[in-house]
Amino acid sequence: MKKGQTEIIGLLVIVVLLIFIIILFVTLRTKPQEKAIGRESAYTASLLTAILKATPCERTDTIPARPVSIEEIIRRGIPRQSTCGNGEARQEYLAKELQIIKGRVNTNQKVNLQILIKNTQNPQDIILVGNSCLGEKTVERRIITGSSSGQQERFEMVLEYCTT
Amino acid sequence: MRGKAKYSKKGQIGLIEMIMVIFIVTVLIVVGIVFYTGVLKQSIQKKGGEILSQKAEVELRAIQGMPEIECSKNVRREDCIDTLKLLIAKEVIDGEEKGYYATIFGRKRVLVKQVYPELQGQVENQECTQEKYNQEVYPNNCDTWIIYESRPATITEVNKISVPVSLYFPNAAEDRKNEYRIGELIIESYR
Repeated sequence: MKKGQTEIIGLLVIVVLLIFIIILFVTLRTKPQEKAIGRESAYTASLLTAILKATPCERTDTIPARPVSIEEIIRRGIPRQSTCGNGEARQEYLAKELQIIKGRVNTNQKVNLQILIKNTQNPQDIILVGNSCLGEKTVERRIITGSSSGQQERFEMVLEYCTT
Repeated sequence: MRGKAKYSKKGQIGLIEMIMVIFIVTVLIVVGIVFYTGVLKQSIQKKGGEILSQKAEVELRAIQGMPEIECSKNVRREDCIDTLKLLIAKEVIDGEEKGYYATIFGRKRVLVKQVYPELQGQVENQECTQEKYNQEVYPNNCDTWIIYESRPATITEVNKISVPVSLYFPNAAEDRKNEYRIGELIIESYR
């Protein structure tokens, strides 16, 4: 083997080593991050349950005063003799309370929450708090049936969770 | 003499060339090893953090389901935390059975904090105690229940994990009503 050929082989070995290191670096840097889907799902399920159970106000026509839950307000509307809001309609009252809940529960800037309550029979009866997530999101739904105006109604509460 | 000197110079150049090649290859290998070890260390630390976080998740679920604090109505379990039980749980956990709970929780702080509705006045981070419970304004005079606390002498890292929970305030007295509020079950793990 001539001297020139040996030099070229040496150079090739170095180039191959460099390429190997670059490939290794790029592969390790672009490794996709695993997402804790289970955690997000548990979080949304717990939060939705806690919101529906919460009793922000009470009926004043019963002795002792009976607390009224958010689920009950969605299902039956705001009781006439109650401390729920200042004579506001269900939509306004719930939107205001859900906004407060969202702000109090979600103090992490990296987490985006959206709460939606819609009447499946009346598209105009809708409450939306927060912005929709653009990326991958975890969604939790609950169906709530009730009758606020004598008619059978069906509501769907949707909670969206995503990290920004 | 002249030929000998020429041969020696050529040999020196060859030697320098060989040393340089060995040096470059060694530098490349060392850089590769350092880089690989760094990445490996990062990945192990990340994995360690993930395992700790998963462990805390499991503990969060387990604590939520502990009969010491979980709600139950007519023997039926409910998806909420009984705040009255929380007051008693603290005494039980801090009492004779402290050793048992220490083996379960380890170096941690487990607490429940009310987040909704927001309480008026300066009650932020006020711990709920038997004394506070006996006051007429309860449950509006405190917002935190510490279930368990064991801090190491020196804390290098604190990992905090939380989950929203429904807090149940049972009708323990005639003038008090059953109500539900929103809280957070928080685990702070110390390292």
